[in-house]
Amino acid sequence: MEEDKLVKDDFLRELIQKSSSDNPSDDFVGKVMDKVRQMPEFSDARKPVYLYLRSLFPFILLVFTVFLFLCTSDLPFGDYFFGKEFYTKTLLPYLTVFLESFRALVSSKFTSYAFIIMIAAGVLILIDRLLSRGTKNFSLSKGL
Amino acid sequence: MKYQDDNFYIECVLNGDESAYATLVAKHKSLVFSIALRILNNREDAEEIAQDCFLKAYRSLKFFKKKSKFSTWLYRIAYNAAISRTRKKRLEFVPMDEYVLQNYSVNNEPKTVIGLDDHEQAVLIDRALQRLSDDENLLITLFYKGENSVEDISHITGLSSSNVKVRLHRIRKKLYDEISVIMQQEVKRL
Repeated sequence: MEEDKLVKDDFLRELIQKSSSDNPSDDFVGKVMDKVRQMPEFSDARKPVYLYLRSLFPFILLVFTVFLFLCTSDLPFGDYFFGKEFYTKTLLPYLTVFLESFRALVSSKFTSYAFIIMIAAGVLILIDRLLSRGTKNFSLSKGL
Repeated sequence: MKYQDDNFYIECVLNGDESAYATLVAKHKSLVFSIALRILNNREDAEEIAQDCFLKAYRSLKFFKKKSKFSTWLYRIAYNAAISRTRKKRLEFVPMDEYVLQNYSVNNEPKTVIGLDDHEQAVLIDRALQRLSDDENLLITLFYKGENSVEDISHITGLSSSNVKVRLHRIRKKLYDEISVIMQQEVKRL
């Protein structure tokens, strides 16, 4: 703080401390704290891990579906990624069993309709969440 | 209750006690508001910027590395936010010879001021401060009122330390001159 000595002036400091302060409105702290409590980042920051995983679930499901589709399609995706021998001898039988069990589930009309309804509901919930998140961010950015 | 160190409240906030942030806001609100007001010249805008500044600081609190004081970090956020709002130019570099700086004389405190009571002194300094420019007011507020060091002000404004010193030197001299002028005017009026 040696250099501060050049401008240090206790008399002026005391005098300026006596000047009328610029103070914001009386409820300033309350307003800031209200906004703090509405901040989405901080409700997220204290989220337990399982809630993070739950929010990631739709994306994991999507990636898995795409992966399954590519592996069981006629495209040489499985050969390319896992090696032809490993894919055809080890992985493909498991995938086939998995798909067969799935096929058995959707073989009746009743289960097919149930699946269609569940998928539609899932997509609607996902869209709703995405839209409401967008609206929340928009209103925060506008200071609403 | 005695005010603890800023870092104590920061730790509380980071450990999930968001109400501890209210204490930090209450402590620093005046100077954050003053910085914004000096730059924006409008109380409503200054209040909005001051609120935004505290929200931004809260959001970034986990990234605050405690290399500088919390107040310096906070005031820098306020300064940048207010400057961005006005698109005003940042404080500019003032060239000055170090020799001149060392020998820059400032009048000693006017003796007549010491004879005034606290209220009269407050009125006098308010009038003198009103005669300074916004930039000058900002620096003087940060140094003498906010009790920030030259180094802290350098971090807040982006000016070099020697430049802050030069400016503070000039402002100090100007302020004493203004005080003398006001005192003379008062004497003439009587």
